[in-house]
Amino acid sequence: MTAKKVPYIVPVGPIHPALKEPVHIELTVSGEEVISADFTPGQTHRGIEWMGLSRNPVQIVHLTDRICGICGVTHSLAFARAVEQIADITVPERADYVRTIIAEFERIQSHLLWAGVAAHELGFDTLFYLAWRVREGAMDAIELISGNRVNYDIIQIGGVRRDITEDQFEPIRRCLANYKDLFGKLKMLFLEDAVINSRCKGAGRLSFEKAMAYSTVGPTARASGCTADLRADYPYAAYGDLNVKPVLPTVYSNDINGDTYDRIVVRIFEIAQSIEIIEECLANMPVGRILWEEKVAGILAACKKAKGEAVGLHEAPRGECLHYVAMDLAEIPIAWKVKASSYSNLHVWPLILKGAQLADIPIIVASIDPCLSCTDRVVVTDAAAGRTKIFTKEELTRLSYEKTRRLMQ
Amino acid sequence: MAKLPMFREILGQSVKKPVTNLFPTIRMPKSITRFFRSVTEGKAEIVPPVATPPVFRGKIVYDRTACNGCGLCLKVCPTHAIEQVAYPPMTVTVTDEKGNVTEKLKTEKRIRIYIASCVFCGQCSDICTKGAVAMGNEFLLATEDRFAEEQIAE
Ligand code: SF4
Ligand code: SF4
Repeated sequence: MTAKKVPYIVPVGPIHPALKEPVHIELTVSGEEVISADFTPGQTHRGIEWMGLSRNPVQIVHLTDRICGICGVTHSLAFARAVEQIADITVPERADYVRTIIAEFERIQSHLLWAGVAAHELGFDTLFYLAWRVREGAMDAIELISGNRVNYDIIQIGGVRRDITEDQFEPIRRCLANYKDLFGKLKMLFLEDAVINSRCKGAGRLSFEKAMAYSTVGPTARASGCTADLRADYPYAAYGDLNVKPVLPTVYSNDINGDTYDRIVVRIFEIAQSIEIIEECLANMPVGRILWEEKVAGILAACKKAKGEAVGLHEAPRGECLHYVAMDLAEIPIAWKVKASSYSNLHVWPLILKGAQLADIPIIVASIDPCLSCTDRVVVTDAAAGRTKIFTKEELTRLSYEKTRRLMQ
Repeated sequence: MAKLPMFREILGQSVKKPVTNLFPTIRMPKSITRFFRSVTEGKAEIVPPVATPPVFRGKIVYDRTACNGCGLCLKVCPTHAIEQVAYPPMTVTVTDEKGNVTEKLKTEKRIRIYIASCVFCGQCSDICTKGAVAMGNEFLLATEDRFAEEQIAE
């Protein structure tokens, strides 16, 4: 029985199809408990920034749409904002509103997608299907406005490419009304459920101090009590006209624990907030142009005259997304750097995984929303005996399911 | 008893119609290849996919006769999916003022679009002044050969 006393090293990753940013996590476990965790980011380098350095901003803006499959507008908005600052382009007001509406629909669908994934990690597949079915409403609205469900391609440097026409207001309002009706149900199903309560309360706790020290962003930070929200802190697009307040777990309960449960609370209530924002935007939609310059040649000419550097920020569903662009009197930028929101949040994994149980890894890892359900293949190496056991994703998920079952009894 | 609000939901759903569009068939056929063969033979029918929205961006439809080869679309294509081709190369006889007859290879510029590289952003159809490229409705484009005939629009 000596072999059991040796801490096991569990490498997770680096490639997992559900991950937007493949990482490699290494866990040292003793029995069921995680003693320490470490991770290595940067496992998949697609070279998209390098590709950008041989393309002009009008081309890059649609490359950025492909950085992430869920954040279809996040990256292009952040990139466009950076270029607009350098080239001194003023975005028409109406375009700002369209951008805001799309960005908030994106938040709704992303949070619902996450909620579904979280339910799946707990073995609660009925809720997973329900969340994804509800998500279709936002997808349909996005499809109606932009033409496609996933890659919206709606941002252009200096505005948006598609307007929201009068006849689209009605279906969008209907979609929002539908979400308002459903919100009570979603809240009940996610926050009152006994299984979710027992599995998520206290799991993956991140204190306020640590959340600040690790510079977490988005719902992960807000669940720990940080009032960081770019929409409120540095208003852009139409957010300056709206009164956006960061959603903290206190909207539902009295105290802030910074655990997985609080992250669910924040995301669920942000859906309600997004519905309100879209409604307000629709009501106050200014009239006018949607592009600073109709002709692409005009946009490119402005880029050619631009010199300088800028940072474009956007509050993505997962937190702050940052694009740094530098241009030097040429169509093609001389530097482009992307920092997606998940990157900031990944750093807390070692912290929140420490002390967790093996069966809790999927939900804790997913709780910061990298949509990672542990991994395809996990190798457990018994360093002392030199033996190797391979855990498949199914086995690990099964462990998680079994824990849920144990709790139900 | 712990609170399990999902139970009521499940009971309610069990009597509802599924919201999913059962594409391409309602039930899994015994053999998919045989099923599709009978579809081509007209013996079976597939459940049609959900209709695409009016502004949908699908496979590019290129009209060679309308295009003048200006190359504007090349400039905005994010994936370099479009290439300019000399099309069609043909020999023309040119007679100058002195009456000398010479043969010249005359080319006209057109474009070729590699659908496999295209990300369906629709910038090319937005910028084209001749209306030579449009975003179509087709979206079932999976293939093993990216240079297959239907994967190249020219
Ligand atoms: S498709 Fe249109 S933009 Fe492209 S080369 Fe032809 S005419 Fe020019
Ligand atoms: S739709 Fe395709 S071919 Fe046209 S610009 Fe976009 S990527 Fe290029």
